[in-house]
Amino acid sequence: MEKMTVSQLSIFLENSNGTFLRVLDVLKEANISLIATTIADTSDYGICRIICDYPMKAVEILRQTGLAVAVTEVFALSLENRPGAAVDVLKIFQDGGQNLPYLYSFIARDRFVIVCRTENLEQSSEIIRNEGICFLTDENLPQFS
Amino acid sequence: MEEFAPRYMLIVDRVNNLDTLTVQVEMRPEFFTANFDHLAPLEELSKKLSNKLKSVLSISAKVQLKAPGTIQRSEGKSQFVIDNRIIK
Repeated sequence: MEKMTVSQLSIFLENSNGTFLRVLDVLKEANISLIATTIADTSDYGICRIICDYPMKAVEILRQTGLAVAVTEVFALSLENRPGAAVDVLKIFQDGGQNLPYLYSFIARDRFVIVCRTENLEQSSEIIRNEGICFLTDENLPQFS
Repeated sequence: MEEFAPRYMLIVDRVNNLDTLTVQVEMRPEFFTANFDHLAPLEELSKKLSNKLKSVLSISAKVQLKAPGTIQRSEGKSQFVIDNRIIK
């Protein structure tokens, strides 16, 4: 089946001074551009999620520095940048019985991109295909950097 | 628990005249896989260890998950306990 997702990096970060900067420094040294990032945190630690132009290269380099990095396949839905674009798409997911554990967004090249994970990758892929929703894959990411 | 490396540190402290115990424990890098992209599995893991410690030790301990390789390795005799209590 055609891959309809992008590779997202999830990095475990302890809640202490400079941990996020360390990640950014490593990526800068490797000439990797961030496209979107978000941090989910508790009082002791957080998980930094990153979409970047060359995710597999980034994973390799971050792991070499001893960081705990996971790769997750998430959807990056490329929508028209207009009021209501997000709700229209999210309603389709809701109607299809798909819950989204998390979601974040960015705007690039006049498109509004929603990055989200769903509980069932296959069912969600089918919804995206059937509804003709535009999506990005890893091959599209370098053009955003 | 296979999710954890055999690296830990016990931190004893005193808060409002009560002794407290924090257990810092390192996760194994191989368990930091695709499931660990959100907080729920980590919180669950922390709770599971906390409950296990309580059932074995009969005391409550706060569990702090640490990234692989971050608990201080000591040369020579290993240190597993840090006692921050000020006994007057």
